[in-house]
Amino acid sequence: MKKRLFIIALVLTIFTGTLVLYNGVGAKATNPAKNNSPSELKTQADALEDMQTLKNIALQQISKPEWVHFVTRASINPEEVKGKTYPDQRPIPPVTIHESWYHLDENNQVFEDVQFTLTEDGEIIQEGVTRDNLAWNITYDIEFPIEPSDFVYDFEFERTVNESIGEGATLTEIETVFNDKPSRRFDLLLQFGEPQKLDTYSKAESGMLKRYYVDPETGFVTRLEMIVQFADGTEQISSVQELITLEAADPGEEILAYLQKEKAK
Amino acid sequence: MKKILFCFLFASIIAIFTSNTVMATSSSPIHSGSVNGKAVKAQKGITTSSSTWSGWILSKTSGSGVTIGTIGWTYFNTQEWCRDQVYYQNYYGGDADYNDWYIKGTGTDNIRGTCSGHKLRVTGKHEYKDGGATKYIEFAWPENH
Repeated sequence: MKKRLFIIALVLTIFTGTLVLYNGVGAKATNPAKNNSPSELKTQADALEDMQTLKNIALQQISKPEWVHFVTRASINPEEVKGKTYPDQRPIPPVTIHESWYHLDENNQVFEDVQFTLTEDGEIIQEGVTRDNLAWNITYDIEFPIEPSDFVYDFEFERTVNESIGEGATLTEIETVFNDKPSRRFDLLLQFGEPQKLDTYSKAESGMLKRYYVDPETGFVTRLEMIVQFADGTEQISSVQELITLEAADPGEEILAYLQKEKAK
Repeated sequence: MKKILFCFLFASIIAIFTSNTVMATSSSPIHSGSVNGKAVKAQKGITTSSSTWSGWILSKTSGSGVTIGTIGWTYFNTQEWCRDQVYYQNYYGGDADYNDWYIKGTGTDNIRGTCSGHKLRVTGKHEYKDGGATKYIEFAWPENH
């Protein structure tokens, strides 16, 4: 009797373990990259190695103490951003341009900045400046202490990959063409242990696919797509972020003048 | 029997380590005030995983034995900041419990910002009413959690 129970328990254990492991491997099976793939899908180990190689290429160009001009375009699913507002009650538009002038130190950290959030038509929504360890959002007149922070040029690609893999995510890579240029596409798929009900959606979210496009020449991440997967098997693009400008550049007098701006007492 | 229990335990441990999302939680300092002579407290905080997060607001008195007429908040926001810029904000309207000592509200969303100096924050206005007196504790500025 005891022997029979032991065998049943062992079978259950193997079955449970297989189910759980399938949950992770299933990410690869449902990876959209497989369907659109013009080349071979790389394994996670190869993808991680390529991520490091591309990072080294990128860092050769930006790890110097200087001013960097960094501009991105963010598109949020109009349904998700509907009704959302900034602190002054102004609606958050589905498309925003984020223009930053970052002053980097020798550790590649931002210690001064002048930043703008703009509409697609170039209208300023917010302007802010950081100097002397004080961040000041000029538009909302909010000031607070701030420490230098790492210069994030890659839409947090490396950090997110490392953190998500620790949570059971899978990473795959494919060589593709994007905007008529060769590109590497990395798909990071995290499937939640249990579906999560977020305020944003009426349906429970079961996972998140983050799709990064990297320019192999510069090593820069040129595009990030965040795709939400729901427990009912459907999915939707939540947001897209695109790199517009990343270059070392002289900010000019108009931008530098922000560092001298006095906050009204 | 011990072997059977061991097998179930082993399976459970595998399940926990392979499918659970790692969550991190941090909170603001507790801020204090008083209404109608009764001590009240206000706190906010965040819980994050690699792709989602929740911001919470908590209004309470000194303990379950001390209730007040109305306890809650007028509003709260969960915000994503990129250094000195507000990248995204969710607004939540007021909520309250009556003749109670504790109420907590939570807002959840995907993490959307991927920028230098990215911070998740909660702002809000705590509200306490008792015996005709009203006390607000408001944080409209980005307090670190």
